[in-house]
Amino acid sequence: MKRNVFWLLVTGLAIVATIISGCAKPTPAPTEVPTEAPAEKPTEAPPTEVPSAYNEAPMLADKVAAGELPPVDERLPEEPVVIPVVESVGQYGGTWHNVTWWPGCGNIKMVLYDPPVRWKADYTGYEPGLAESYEWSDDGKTITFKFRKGIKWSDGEPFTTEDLKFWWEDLAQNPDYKTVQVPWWARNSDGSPITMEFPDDYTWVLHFDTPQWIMPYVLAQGFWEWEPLMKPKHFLTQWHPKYTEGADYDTLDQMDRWFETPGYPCLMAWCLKEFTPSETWLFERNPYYWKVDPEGNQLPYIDYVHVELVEDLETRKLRVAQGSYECTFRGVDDPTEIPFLTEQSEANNYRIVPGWMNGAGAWPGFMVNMDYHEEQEYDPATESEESKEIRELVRTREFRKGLSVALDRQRIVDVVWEGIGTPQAFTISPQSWHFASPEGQKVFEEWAAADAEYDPEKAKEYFDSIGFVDQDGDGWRDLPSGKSFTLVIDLNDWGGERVTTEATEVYKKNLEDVGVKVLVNNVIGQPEAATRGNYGVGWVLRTTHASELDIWTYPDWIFPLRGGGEGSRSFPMQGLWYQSGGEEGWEPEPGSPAAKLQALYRKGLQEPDEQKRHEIVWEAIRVHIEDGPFVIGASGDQPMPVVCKNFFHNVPEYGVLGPWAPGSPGNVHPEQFWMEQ
Amino acid sequence: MAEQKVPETNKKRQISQSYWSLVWWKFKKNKLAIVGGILIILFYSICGLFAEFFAPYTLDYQSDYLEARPQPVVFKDEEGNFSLRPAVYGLEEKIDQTLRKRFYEVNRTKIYPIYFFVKAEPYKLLGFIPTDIHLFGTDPADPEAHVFLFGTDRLGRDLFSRIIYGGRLSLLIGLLGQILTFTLGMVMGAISGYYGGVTDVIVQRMTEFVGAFPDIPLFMALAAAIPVTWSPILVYFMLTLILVFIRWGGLARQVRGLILSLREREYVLAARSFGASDARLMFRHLLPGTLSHCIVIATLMIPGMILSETALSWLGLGLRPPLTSWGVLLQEVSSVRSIRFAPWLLTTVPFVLLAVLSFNMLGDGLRDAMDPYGGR
Repeated sequence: MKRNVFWLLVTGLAIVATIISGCAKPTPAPTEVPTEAPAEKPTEAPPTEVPSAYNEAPMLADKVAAGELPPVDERLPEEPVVIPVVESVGQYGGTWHNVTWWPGCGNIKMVLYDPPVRWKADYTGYEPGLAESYEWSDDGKTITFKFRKGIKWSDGEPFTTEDLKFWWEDLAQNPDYKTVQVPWWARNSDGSPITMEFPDDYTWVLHFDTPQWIMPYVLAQGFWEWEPLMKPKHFLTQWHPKYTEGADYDTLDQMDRWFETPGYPCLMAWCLKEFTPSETWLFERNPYYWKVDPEGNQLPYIDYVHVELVEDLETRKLRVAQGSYECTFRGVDDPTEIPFLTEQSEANNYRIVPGWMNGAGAWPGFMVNMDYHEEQEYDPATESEESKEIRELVRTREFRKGLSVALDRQRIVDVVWEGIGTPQAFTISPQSWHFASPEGQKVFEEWAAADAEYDPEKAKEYFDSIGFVDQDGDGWRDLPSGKSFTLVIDLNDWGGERVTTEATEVYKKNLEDVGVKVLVNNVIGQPEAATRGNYGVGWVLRTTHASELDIWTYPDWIFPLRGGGEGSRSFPMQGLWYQSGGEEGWEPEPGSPAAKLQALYRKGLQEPDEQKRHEIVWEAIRVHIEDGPFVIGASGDQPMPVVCKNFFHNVPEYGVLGPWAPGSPGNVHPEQFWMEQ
Repeated sequence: MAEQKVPETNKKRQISQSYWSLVWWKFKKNKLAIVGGILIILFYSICGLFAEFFAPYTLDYQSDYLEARPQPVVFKDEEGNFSLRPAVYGLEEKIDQTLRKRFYEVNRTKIYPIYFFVKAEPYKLLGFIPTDIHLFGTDPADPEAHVFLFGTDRLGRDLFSRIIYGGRLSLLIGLLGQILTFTLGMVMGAISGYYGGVTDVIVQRMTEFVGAFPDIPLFMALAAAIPVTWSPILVYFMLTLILVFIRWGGLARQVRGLILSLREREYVLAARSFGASDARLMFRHLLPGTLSHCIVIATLMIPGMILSETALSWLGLGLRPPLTSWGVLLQEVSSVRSIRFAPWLLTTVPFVLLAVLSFNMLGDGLRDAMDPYGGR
């Protein structure tokens, strides 16, 4: 009875939500998918005279029999990549329904992507993917990629370095085509594009003017680093003015989208077959996919991946809880939804796969603005005394240590995470490979415990010791000069609006308890949110979520190298200085934390040895511990609800979803997921 | 005429009755309207004037009981025997590790008696009388004791107290907004009806223009135009103005209609022929004639105001935390998770219903009473 009332409420809410979000369209009917033959069939069925070492999906076997496709042996490369299976060799067939919340379907791209270098499934480092190998010259300035022989695009055309050459010469360096640019990693130290060579069909050589020991790993990150390079020349030349008369770049731009143009040849397990803008995607298996399982069955096991767009969070949550998707990794990304999903799991025949973590080192956390200033147009001549003084205060170590010990982290865990979680200081992901060794683990533990003890008395002592005291008797601490001070917290939705809002409410009270006047400035959805955050204008603290597995490819959480845009963290202006080569931003003062960290990064880039690079990371972390904190972390890692049906197999019980760089779940080989038929 | 039927003995007293006392007589007979009126007075005095006294906790109080269920009220003393003094059972935190969820269980061994007129957290009554007496609460000497009649929210705030504080803003926005609408609508209606011609056309087209917009999108557009940097209290007044801006048209139309018929009456013509000014004619002779009608309409429109505030805030477009209104309280329960695991947060709904219902009952009663000569 109680249950009925509950469902009535839930349904009511869903209806209201649907009407409000204005997408009162009926749920799309299940896509028509040809029914599959039983999986045992292909082992006996193919009527070829020479028994093949490889098996294929029934839907492909039918096409081979009908003469529409060459046999599997001809479709696979010379040496197919053998992918280990997590539990068992699977059955072919089925449609994997999945969900996304944005028209760019980034979370689905991470399921599909297949870069030349990839993260290992256990996140302990990198391994070759599409490329067979990658090698450095002795001085680290030349990198040679070797691709696998006989790999084909999904329409059967061979994939060769000719395609990369097309990307580099006709797209990236083409001044008339703005969509594809020379990527940031393909530039010399003076900003000019590097030299590339394509000596044969399978060799790709990159010449830099400085040692590049990190560069191959860049291609492994997320889907966005390799995505722009994935250009099928034979397909795109039909819209390229250089190759086709009367073609124009606008059309090329329109067609050059592998996730929007049906029939776009791809190198991934599933390629786009049908697309309804802002509604659904249907990806079909790639008959030329170049991976097999240990028994020689061509992957993927699953025939189709169907994706629907559900923007509204509550609607999506209900769809997931109803078991509408065979397996979804980011359909719901709030750990506090786990109780609700668990309750519905039995009735809807799914499970929450254990071991999938967020990888958060601070969730929630508060960045400290080391480059505080009031006006976006910064001019040292006209800057107010107050602005300078606040910056000096923030740059005083004791002030930040005081902020850190004033935070009641257990209360944050209680409020935000239902009392389940670890209070800790800011770190990068605990799963990071920099912490894999026992020494690394020690560094992590030390970092997580630094100034993390809740102690309001100690906070007051810290503040008193630097003259940050109440001078006019109004109960609030004033700047050392006697001017009144209000600490501004920019509240954004980084890490989820619910999390940041609740955490800020707690922190505000904590700070007020130690005499700091606080103003919470809610910038969610505000146009000035990005400029304020990216340049460090007007805020002292800013809500955030911190996680990163490899600090060399995405250094921002430890090394201040970027500013004024993506990558801006606690040193927006000093980061901008590094990024612009000293043309913009503020030069770090010698001996300041930013100067130390930037020097360490430069040192790391020149270091060929992986182990020594880890040690440099530890050295940088020591700077964070001693001179920091630069981010006030509140709480550590949380599990993520990965919801998979009980008949959905081969999902490993370990993964990290918070940082997008490893491209999870792409790195755990979704091509070997299978469903009982 | 009604007076002629009145028995002879009462005639003298009866004739001397003014219009308003006749209205009062008629109104008194309507039980529902009386109930509505009393409820409204209660609402406004509890929530509006004396919220701090009636709420056991102050607005910024945060307990350690986060999203705790309501405590059952019993009539038992601390030994468990029957007692006239009400008491509540204690709550105990339990974390279900498999479900990953914190629950609160009723601990029947702990009983906290409820005391009346307790001295608890200090506040200023009506904004200037410092005191620390609350209507009810637990023993202030026992730091463990707590009373959450309707449970708590995610930050451990007592929902009962928050509903009382929330009512202050929600009810006042109705009243304040209605007073402004009333003034604006009357004046515009009177001008439009009295002058007629071009003025009439302009005013009428304006009301049509405002009225032709679909309500919610217009609210959203206007509410989105409020700068976020404004302090919450300014936002509150701005929101009131927006509501007024949307709603004055209906009243203005009705007033115009009434004025159109009144201005041709002999007493108006007489006043005019004596050389009365336009303003005097309008405000002394015409508008009082429409007053009874307008009061009824105004009363019936207040619930609409309250509901608009609630709806807007629920959509996240109206009032924002840290302000507390009924809409804000409901917004906190707008997720599947809260409905499933903290359904007590919906307790706000009956209060909104009751307030709206009271106004409707009162308005209906007034409508009947304002026409004391019409028999039914």
